[in-house]
Amino acid sequence: MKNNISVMVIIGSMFLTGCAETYSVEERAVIRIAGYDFVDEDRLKATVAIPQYGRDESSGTPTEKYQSAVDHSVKEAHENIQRKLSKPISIGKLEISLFNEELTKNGLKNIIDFLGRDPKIGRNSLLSVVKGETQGLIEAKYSESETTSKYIAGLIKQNINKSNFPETNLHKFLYAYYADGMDPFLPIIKRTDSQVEIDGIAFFDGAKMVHSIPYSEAFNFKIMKQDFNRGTKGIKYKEERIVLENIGSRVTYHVIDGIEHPRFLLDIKIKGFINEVENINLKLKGSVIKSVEEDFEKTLQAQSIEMIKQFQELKIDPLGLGNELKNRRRNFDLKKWEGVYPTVPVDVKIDVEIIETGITS
Amino acid sequence: MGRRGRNQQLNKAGTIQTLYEKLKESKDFVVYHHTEPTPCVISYLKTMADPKILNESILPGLKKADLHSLEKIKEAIPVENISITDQAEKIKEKVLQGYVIIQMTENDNQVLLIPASTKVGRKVSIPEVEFSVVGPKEAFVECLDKNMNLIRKRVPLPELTVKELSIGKLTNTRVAVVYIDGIANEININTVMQRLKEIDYDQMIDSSYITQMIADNSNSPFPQLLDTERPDRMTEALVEGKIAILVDGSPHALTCPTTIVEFFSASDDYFLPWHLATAFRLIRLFAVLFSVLSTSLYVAILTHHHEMIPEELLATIISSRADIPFPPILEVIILELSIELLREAGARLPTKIGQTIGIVGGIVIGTAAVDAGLTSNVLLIIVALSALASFTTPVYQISNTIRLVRFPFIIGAQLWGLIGVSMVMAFFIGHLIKLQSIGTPFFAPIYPLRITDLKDAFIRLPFNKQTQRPIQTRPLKSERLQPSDANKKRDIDE
Repeated sequence: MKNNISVMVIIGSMFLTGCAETYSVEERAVIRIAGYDFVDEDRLKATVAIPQYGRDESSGTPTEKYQSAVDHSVKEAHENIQRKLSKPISIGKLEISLFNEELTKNGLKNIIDFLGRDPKIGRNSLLSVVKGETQGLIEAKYSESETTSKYIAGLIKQNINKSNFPETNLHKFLYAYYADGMDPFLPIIKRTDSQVEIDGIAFFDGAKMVHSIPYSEAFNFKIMKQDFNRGTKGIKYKEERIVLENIGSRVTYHVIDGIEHPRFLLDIKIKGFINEVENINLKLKGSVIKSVEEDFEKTLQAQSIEMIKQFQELKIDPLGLGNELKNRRRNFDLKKWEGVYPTVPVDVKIDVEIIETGITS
Repeated sequence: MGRRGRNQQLNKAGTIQTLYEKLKESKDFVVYHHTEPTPCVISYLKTMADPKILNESILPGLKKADLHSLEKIKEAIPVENISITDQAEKIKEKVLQGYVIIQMTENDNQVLLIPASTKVGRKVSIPEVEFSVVGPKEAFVECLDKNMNLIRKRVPLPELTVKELSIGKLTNTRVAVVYIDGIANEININTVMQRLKEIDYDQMIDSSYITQMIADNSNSPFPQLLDTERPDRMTEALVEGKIAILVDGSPHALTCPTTIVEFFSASDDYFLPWHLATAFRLIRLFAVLFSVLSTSLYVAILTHHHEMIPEELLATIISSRADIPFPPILEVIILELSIELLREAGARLPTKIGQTIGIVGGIVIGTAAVDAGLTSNVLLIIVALSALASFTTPVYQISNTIRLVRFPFIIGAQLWGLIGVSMVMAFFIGHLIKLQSIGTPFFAPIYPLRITDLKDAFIRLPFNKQTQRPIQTRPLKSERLQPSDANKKRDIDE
């Protein structure tokens, strides 16, 4: 009897699964990049690029087809795009979503919800704010060997991995968005004729972009946000430009005092390597290195404190200080925290250690 | 010698005369009246008796003098183990084995039995199924006595016990159960003996019959007795406290109890240094997993989860599948079946033609199928690799299992994607956990977890770490060597 039931279940489920329509991957319109532009208060315009793979894979980059549609929500816009296609859309391999700056300033609520809700979208897909139209940016051709999606995703990823840009992806964005006492940030990219470049970092208050910093300040933000081991920073040292390459920086958040009057200390340790000095007569030895280190410490500290001040004035918390506090002290009250955040004392302690000055001394 | 108990139903013991009548109907039964100087009747099966013994020992003995009784003849003939009997049953058995019968007159019931049997068979040759580059190159043959010789010379121990039974109502095949007394657990021995005794079948052609008949679960695709043609491998098993079953007429012996991991360990694993052996064994295990799962993962990912395809592969896969008229499942089934076809054809054909078939199948059909747009070249690579990977198993029987087990995975993948693959996997793991080999768990040492037995499962530790016999077999003596002595490598002057 028991056996009969299990046989029935197996046979039943086999017949039922026959009802599900399956599409093999080549019968899908695989979307790699999607951009959303501001149309008016209610509507947005979605633009997608669909790579067209041919029979012969050796012919280099696939050509891309572009489709856009205007509607009230992301899903509806995608549905409108669907109407113009011969194959069903597959959003699963979405690599990067772009939002036009105007749209971001009006709020990304529905897009964030869409991206967070769909299980097919990988949590490591990228998001980015675009200065100007996303449609134009997506439809432009940048490289012979790469599709637009690969080009832009590569651009952001390599700047995260090898340079000054802090780590970001859909997962981190959603975490910061939903966490108490934390606000998300995204890269800003900009199209300049035949290429795209990272322009800066956009800071959000909830789903709205409220602040941005230029890319030149990204290093300061990154050393405060995370441990990392690449990136460069140049400062003026006695009228000379000195460039420090970061070999490894560690940041530790200290919460001082209780929940009533919290104070924060960001303890940052940087191990660096001087790889460019403007004046070759400057001998980097002993006491000179000490004073270069001190100069770096002072400059970085001042810039970091300045940046945090700006955040506090705008009541945004991309560093997640509130989240730190919630994790470490009992009886965290979000309302109360939001009230005290702008005046919470945050101190930054930076310790630069230069361990290498190159082979010419 | 063997016990004959249950095989007499066919011929209710008659007299010698009825036996003679039956035998005389065969052309090769010779009855020869010897006259001078000893009058007697010599009868034997020409095809079974050794003419050398007849001509060089028996006839000269009879020629020497006039011998009036069977006792006298027995003394005169220089052959061992001559016996006198009047039991028709025994006579029948011996005649059929090639013994020469001597009677004083044709109607006498008293009979002299002279062992003169000769057996035609292969010489001991190199192993072909379980070939290894280094190590012993002897393999079992069809003759049980030769096989026993191969074992005895490796284990010169009085404790090496051989129990013999005869199985098969018609064939009366000799089946030997071999174990080392004092190491092998009696419970296992008794289980094997009991199961063998209870086999009720008319023939016993090969040891694989026994595998199927005495297996704990006859419906399982997994073989529950390890089958080997290497006497060295069998010796290893005996020393570990396992029990071997040899069948007369079968060049493959069985060892039990066994575990799933034993099917993936090759003799080479012990002939190579332990780290190399471990690496190769892990490669083999990976190959088996690859062989079972690769095509089903292809189906699952292409039909259900294409977000899992890495970006770099996407273009390759899509463009290779662009013109294929079939969905991935049909494509896979067609290719898998054609590989199975090739394998079956290759196995049935003589070696030399088999190679040609391989080339025709692999290169010509494969390339043509891709060119014709019937299959994608990505899948062709996957299927070919998975077929290749299934050949890495050192035991032939498990490679057959792997061939078959792939298909439920493919169906599961088509129906439910990766969930389907996991469901089939869960089903098989559940089955393996439940499976037993002669009453001991087949999925050990993974489940039940036997940490000490892991020393020779996925990895093979060096011999000085193999101080204990596997507890899987419940050996009566578990120590192989004193662990404290294991690392001593004394110089001559110490």
